[in-house]
Amino acid sequence: MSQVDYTTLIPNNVDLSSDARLQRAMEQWYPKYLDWWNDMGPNGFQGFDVYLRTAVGVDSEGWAKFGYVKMPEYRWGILLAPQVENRKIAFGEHIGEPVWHEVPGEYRAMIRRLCVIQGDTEPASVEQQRYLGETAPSLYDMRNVFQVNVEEGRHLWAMVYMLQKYFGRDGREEAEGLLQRRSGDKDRPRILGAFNEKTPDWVSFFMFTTFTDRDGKMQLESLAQSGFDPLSRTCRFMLTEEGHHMFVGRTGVERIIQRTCQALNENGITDPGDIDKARSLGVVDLPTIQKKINFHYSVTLDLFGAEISTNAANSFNAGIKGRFNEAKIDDDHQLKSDTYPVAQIIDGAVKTQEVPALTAINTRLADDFIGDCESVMKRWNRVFTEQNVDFQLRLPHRAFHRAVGEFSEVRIDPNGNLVTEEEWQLKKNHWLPSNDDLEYILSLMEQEVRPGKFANWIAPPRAGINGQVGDFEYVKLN
Amino acid sequence: MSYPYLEVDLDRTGRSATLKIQGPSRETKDLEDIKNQGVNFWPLAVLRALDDALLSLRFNEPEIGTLIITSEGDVAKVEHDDQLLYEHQQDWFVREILLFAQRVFKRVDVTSRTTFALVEQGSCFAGFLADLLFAVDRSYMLDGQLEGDQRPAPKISLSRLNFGLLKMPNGLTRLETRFLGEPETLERLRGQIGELLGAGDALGAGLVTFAPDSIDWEDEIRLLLEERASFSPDALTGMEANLRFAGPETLESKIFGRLSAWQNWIFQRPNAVGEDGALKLYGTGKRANYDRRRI
Repeated sequence: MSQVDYTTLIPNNVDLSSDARLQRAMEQWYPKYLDWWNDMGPNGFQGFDVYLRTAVGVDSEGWAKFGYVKMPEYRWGILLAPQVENRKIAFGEHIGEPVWHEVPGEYRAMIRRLCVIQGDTEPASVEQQRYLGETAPSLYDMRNVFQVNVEEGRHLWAMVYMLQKYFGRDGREEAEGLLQRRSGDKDRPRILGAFNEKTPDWVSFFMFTTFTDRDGKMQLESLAQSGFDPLSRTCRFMLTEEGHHMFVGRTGVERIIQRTCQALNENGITDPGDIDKARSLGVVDLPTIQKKINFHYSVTLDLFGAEISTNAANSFNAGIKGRFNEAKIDDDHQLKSDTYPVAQIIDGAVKTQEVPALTAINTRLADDFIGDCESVMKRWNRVFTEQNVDFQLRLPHRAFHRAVGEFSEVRIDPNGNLVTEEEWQLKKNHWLPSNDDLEYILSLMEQEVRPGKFANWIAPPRAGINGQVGDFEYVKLN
Repeated sequence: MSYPYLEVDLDRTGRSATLKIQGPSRETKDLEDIKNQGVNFWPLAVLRALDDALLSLRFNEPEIGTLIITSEGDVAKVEHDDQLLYEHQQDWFVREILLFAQRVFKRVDVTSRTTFALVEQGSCFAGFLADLLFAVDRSYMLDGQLEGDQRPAPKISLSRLNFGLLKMPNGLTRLETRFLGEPETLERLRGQIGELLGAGDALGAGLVTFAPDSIDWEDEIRLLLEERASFSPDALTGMEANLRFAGPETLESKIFGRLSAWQNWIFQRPNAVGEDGALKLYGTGKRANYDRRRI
């Protein structure tokens, strides 16, 4: 048996040192996790010092310790947001009852499933992003992807903690399963579709962290409402880190837009839709950015599941998974007789129809997500105003390019109109990135590792990490 | 409820009953001794108690949906009495005891309640008593010792009685039903008659459902009971009957087994098709309201 002292190795506020069951489970899982990290984590950069943030506690002192660390030596921890005294279940049929500190047997399968699905996304994104270091546009960005990766690793830990602590033998088996599935693998893929897509380039990475990590945020926000208190607490702490991932995505795309606008202006190009001219300057043309938005936004909407869902209704009613900002919603929090508008295909067009609100929980969460994305679009579009470029980016219609739910069987354009299969085939390369577009983006991906330097297609950030100056060496490659 | 060699504890909140069987308290010498003891001979006494308790729970406690069978005693003493039964099976009295054992154990097979067995430290599931482990829906055997309990880890053992004299309503022994179509497994088990099997061996041989260790034991049992108690009682009755009666049907099993369970307990009951029934509420996200009574 290994002689590693896990209780000091693993920062935690779950009393790991006196929890024999958790210690034993960790002893078996931790070496497998490290094997997974070394096999599937950032390719080719495991031996370098990276300027990373580590959470060693949940207070303001502990949650962000910066320093150089080699990624396999990162101190992944098990941290839960502090317990709120006398917390009550805030929705569903158990509303007003004290929250559960143990898994209620009745909901065991449901909670375990939610933990497994949430947990499965975390290592999946690390797998998807493992080659990005090789084409990083700067040390700053390289460090950011590694930070995102180690934190996704920690989020995996958070869900593994839930499984190992509360689900006995089943939970330990599921925790192993999380390390066995592989993103994009034909035989043992990750559970959700978007997590089997490739993230081959940095534009995809920034889009992924903007949109797909935002789905993560919405899911975590819903689980943070949970009547099962340990799940709520673990998700609340994860949200602090998820915020940074979305920041990386949003500012990443913003910097690409900024650089493109600058290049257009510097070269006197007045038609922002002129793809060839923009590409001749070695920057990402704006129509391609719109297409990337269309793609990532639509595959992320699929993650919200079917618009009308009994599973979502059940987990809401059970008090396991709430709505975004549940406490701020002004209703009975039980949805016994409420209705909610859901977009559906009716008589050959997309129309909204009122359905029982309890079954429309997924749609509501997707609406909150869409609202969140709209504000991101406002920020991105602000760059055009600042740079005096006549262009606007926008979100496609929610029904566009969907593989899950109401719209998965029909073809719909970005404006929300039904189109024929013929028309779709004709125009899809105007709406979604074509192979040419993707190849062009890939052709831009060349590693830039001189401190303070950035690839031609992206502008520098407004500020460094943790107040560091421009030429700070975020990753020590020598 | 209290009987010689059997204590029944009711937990009305959890809707379960624990039936704790006690092993023999004295050593029976021979056939003559059996007859002198008569109704007090341990196997007969414990079977009569079990019979009465099962019937009483059936008619007087319809909401007690889960029966948990445990035992406490000396494995060697149970094996000794078990051996006497086998040796004297031709005697009219012993033959009646064995036939009675068959009838009582059939009550466990056909009960509408969920049945579990817990094999804990100090238990004595040996010989014919071990057949109860094969009758219940799930058996949990502790792997090792619980913290603070010095008694040795539990063992179970098989005897010849498990291989022919105690038939289920489907005409097969419980081991034949359990290992349907696996005569080689049965042969292997026959070779292990009299061996004391620990949790690992028992689990490996397929004789128990799970073997949690001391760290998991308490929580696994809690979750098991809470989870079962939350399901539709009728659905459980039906599905459990399916699992208990694998394989061929006999006239008896058609009347008392899975077919009867489904016809009488599922298709036409309010728990499924009533206003608050599971089928009526399916898709709405609302939780069905179950009538917890099981007959």
